[in-house]
Amino acid sequence: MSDENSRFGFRPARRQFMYRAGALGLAGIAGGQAFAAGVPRVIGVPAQPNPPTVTLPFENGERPLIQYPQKRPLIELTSRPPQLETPFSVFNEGVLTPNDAFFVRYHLAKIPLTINPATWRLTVGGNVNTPLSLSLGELKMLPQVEVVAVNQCSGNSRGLFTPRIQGGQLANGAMGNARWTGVRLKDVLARASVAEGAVQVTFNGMDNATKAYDETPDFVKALNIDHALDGEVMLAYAMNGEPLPLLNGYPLRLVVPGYYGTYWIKHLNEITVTDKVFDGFWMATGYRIPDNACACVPPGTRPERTVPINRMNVRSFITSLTDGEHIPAGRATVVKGIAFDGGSGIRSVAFSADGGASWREAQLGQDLGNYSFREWTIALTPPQAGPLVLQAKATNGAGQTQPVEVAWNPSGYMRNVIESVGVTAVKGA
Amino acid sequence: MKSPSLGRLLALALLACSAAALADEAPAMDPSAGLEAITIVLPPATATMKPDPNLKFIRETCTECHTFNYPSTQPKLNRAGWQGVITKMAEKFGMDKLSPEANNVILDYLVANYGRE
Repeated sequence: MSDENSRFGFRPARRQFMYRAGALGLAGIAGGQAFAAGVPRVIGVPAQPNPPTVTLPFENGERPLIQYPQKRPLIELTSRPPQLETPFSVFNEGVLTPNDAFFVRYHLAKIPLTINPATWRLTVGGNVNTPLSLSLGELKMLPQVEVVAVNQCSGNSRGLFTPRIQGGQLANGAMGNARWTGVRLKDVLARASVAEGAVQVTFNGMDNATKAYDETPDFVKALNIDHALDGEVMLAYAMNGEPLPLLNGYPLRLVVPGYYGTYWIKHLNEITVTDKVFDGFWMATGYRIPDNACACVPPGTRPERTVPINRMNVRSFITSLTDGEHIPAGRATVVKGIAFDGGSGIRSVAFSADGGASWREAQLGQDLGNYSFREWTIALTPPQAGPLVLQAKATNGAGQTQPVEVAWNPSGYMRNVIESVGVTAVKGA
Repeated sequence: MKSPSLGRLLALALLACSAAALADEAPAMDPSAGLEAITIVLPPATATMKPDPNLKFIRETCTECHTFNYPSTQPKLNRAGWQGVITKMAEKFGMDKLSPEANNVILDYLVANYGRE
């Protein structure tokens, strides 16, 4: 088991205690001076010798629930780099996803494990008149803004596609909704004074590939200049009123409301304005979708033309009931769920208890803005005992809705088919 | 109440001097914006690998970038599918190019343990 740990220079569990004891001792002697000198507080986790497991609803879907620093136990897809999925029951607890339950997705092997905000700097360069190197203190002098927005992995739900698609095998938990606080990208770019001929803005974080495989493309993403200047894209230093958990991008991440998580660069420390379309791997080759209205092709085929993945499509989920549950016949059960899209907002959510044969309109909950999860509820009274196929179907402000048939693409992105939950109504339950 | 020692008085005087010197300058901006320096210690990797005579080579090649739950959580791919993954690692993700023999060692291992024919 520990053989893989040594590959990355990870400290085995036994040494975690020494590190923590050491840090405590230092704090005990030096008090606050340790912080002033930038000595980091060490955050570990308890030993987890026999972690519980969950089984996601597809072949090879068994996963351990593992606790990472600043997190509750989450569904571990991969250990290094860490990829953690949120257990779906969390989405029934509230419309904002708690920081300690928020999913984690990295691409490159060397993720930053130590962050010192006192020495951290964000550089802004490239096609600008005034290149900048900004501390967090300097950034925070810009006007503070806030948005509630969903961050969803492009490949959320990939494991549910048929035919199956190679890649991160996720169920529906690679998404989360948070209140993000930070500054507008537009205000940062104004300080740098974007020069004539700007085409795109690229974003790079502190994660890197290993030295041994130095041709691994750095994880850099780009937005068109007009998008970058739209006043909505922001640099967030807080999430649900707290500093970002390290694994969600501490101390600063990009927030691109309505866009898939691939653009939300974590540990953001380098912004570059370009005078041509950025051709890095993660834009030009990776994270691309079929260039058509459904972003789909017949299952098993490849598209002729592709474009970079961009705005999220509309989705909805039932959160209060899971497959196989029993509900009372002849009495009302309140069914609850969430819906969201890429920024036009949720107009309505339809609910079916007969596999889509008939639909009723659900009641929408509090509106936290067009980029947020929107809660919905509906009362369901099964007239008699027997199995029921429950479905939810959201329509967004642009009139787009969810497909009945899966829109398949060879990367397993953007799944938004109407999902079904099978329950059984029982007498006297 | 005990009278303060000479050393403590001296320290207090020094503190007062440095505070006065700071006050003459522009108000200091905290570059960290009040955020603390932290180090996280990740839990041990949980992924395990099936035994193989060439395990050391396979591990060194594949886990330079990722633990073995990357392949082990995939749907069961056939031989062509796993070859596609190896090729992708070399051509797109920067893995060192493999000799045909090395390629087959890894391919056999993936098909035998995580594949279907």
